[in-house]
Amino acid sequence: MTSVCMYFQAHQPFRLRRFWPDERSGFFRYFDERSNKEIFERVAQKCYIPANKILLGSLDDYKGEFRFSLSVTGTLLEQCELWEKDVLEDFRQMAETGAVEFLDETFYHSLSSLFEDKTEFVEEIKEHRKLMFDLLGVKPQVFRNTELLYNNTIAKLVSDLGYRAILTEGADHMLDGRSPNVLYKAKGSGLPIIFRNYKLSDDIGYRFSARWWEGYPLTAEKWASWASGINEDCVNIFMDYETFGEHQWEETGIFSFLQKLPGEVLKTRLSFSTPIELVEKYSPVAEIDVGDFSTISWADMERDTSAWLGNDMQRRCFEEIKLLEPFVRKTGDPEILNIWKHLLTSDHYYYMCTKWLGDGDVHSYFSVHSTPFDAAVNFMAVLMDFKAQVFRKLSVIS
Amino acid sequence: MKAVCVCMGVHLPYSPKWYWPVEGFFGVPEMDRYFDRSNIFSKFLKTSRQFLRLNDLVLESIERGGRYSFDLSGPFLEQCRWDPELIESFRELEETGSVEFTGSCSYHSLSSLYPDPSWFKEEVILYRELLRELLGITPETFVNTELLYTERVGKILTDLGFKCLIAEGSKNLMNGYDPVHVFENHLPILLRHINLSEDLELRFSEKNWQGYPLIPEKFADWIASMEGDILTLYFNYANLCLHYRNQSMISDFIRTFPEALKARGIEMLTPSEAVKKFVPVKLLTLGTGQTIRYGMHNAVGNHAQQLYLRELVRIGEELSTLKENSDYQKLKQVFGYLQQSEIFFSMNPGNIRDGYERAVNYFSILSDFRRAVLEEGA
Repeated sequence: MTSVCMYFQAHQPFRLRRFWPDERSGFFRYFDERSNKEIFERVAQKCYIPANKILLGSLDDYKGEFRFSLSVTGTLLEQCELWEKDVLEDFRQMAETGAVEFLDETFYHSLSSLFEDKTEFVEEIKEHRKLMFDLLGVKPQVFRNTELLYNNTIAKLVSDLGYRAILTEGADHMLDGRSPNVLYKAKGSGLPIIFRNYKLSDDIGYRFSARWWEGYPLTAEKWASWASGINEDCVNIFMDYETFGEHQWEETGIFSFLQKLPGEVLKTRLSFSTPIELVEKYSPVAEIDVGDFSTISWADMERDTSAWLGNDMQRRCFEEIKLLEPFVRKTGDPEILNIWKHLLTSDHYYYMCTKWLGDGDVHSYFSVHSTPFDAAVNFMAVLMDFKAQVFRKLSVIS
Repeated sequence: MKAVCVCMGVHLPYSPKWYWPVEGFFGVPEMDRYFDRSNIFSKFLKTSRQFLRLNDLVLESIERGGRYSFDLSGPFLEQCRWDPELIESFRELEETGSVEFTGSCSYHSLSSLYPDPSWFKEEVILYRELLRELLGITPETFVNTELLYTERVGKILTDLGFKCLIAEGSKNLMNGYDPVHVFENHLPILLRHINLSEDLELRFSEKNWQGYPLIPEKFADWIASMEGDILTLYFNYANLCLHYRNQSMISDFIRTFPEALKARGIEMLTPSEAVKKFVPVKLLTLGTGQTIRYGMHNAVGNHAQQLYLRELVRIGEELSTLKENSDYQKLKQVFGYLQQSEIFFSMNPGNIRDGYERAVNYFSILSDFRRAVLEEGA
């Protein structure tokens, strides 16, 4: 029997405000309280609340036969606590069913896994782990990194932290003709890897409402029949949770698709499994080798790090933030440390991406900046001010 | 028109390099951390040879009755130390008695826009010393960076003893009229005639321009046909080199322009002579307006420029508390060059992409510099 493994990624960053060095202090000197709250509330109304309701309904209807996994970033959970506790309550209910597997990731949806020094990366994973236990009472056993960034070193670290599997993108250039529908293991650590089936995932996440697409209109029945055509171990369907109601608006029929999907899948020869269940059911068939300089991700067509570190502005901002780490730590100031960690959130760098064609529209999604250049200047302005704050603090200490 | 005043701006910026924080956030920065001086030097060498040839032409023009003024920028004068021959050549021009050298901001900065006027004053005084040291003269006329004018500039310069100011004759000040008088607000002010200056500066070698070829007689005719006391032409000296390389007739123009004017009864005057000779006219907009070449919005209009300006002001405040520190002079010099107006203008080249990519670089530089200042204050 083939397993359908569905995983949804729920994330909201704390976006920067259009920076001007005024009298504000603390976290909201840099981050935009009003627009983040507005965006969060909009997405909660359009996506999280209705999608949660449908999924909770299906969990109830199919009593353990419908299973999926969810990863929620620390920054989104922080926003839920600040602005909409009902969403948090939904996640808690999901956890209680036992049919939803929560995954771990970095608290801040950050790029810290790309630092040579992995101290911060490990720290952020532990922060997320603690948050998941404190808020939802779960202890995740499977890891997914920010935007599915993956290489051997990341796998090794994750394995050392006790995780039993890792999720990543089934990037063509890396699989090189091999199937994403079986498990692999990481070179070095032997950690099981679950690869995303990007074709069947993007049919929902990306092409669902595309009128140019021959698959349009996509029904749950049609999709289930495609998926059931796979005779290997697993079909791994990973996508943003915001697909439901936000990337694909309610008017496209995405919610009724989501509603019908469990039933249609269960009518076929397929069954649902969560990542940890895949690892228990199936064995890795081969080893995968991804060196540090060939890091993969699920972003854009390139499926690499170029969405965040592709141009000079992005690399410079990243370099600056990286160099600041020891000084931030030396201040011993929890507020400064917290701001720094939130500046590692990948979205800030994504907004600066200049790969206009095709992917550009996705990049500008949810961005508060009019162009990637505005985003970069604004980030550097924040950084310039924040850096001064760090060194002022240090000069007082010494 | 009764008279013409020609002022030539000679400037070579000290451009920041494409900086990368290879040193980490550490140490007191030397100039070389942010500026590629070998690159600046090689650019200077190339240009200084051309300036020498131009100076010779101006000498010939003076022998034929020309009178000129020069606005040598601070960063340019500092670079001139690399080539004593060039300084000597400007001295020769000075010795003719037909050339007036103007005062300027020593770092070619926009410091007159800072809330604290002492930065501007200090630069003016510093530049005056530089000019005294290199050319042995004390300027009476002032040209602010890129002809920047604000009301307070006039006030400060009067207090510092200047007798004349040259500023941009922009639309918001002139309201459609040609600036053809000596104006006054605190001190006498000459306003640049933008169109006619740009004929020489930009259009001179353009073959499809309707004024081409611009011969001295034609240009003098245009001027003679205008009613007024004094016409002020100001243009970048380096642009004349450009025309020179384009094999245009710029040499002939420079040589014989004085004679063409004289034939039409028009005098050539230095700025100081002009303000002595003509009775100043009131211009109300000088009390309220601001102006700069290329417009204030191109200098400090976008988010990046506003942020950079604001950051300079704050660093200036922090730096002022370090006057007793041993590294103060070193930091002060670097800070000076980080204030150059080119940095501002290049963040807004009409193309947000190039401008903002540069801005990100400049912010890196400035934030490292501020780091050093804050560490020094510890």
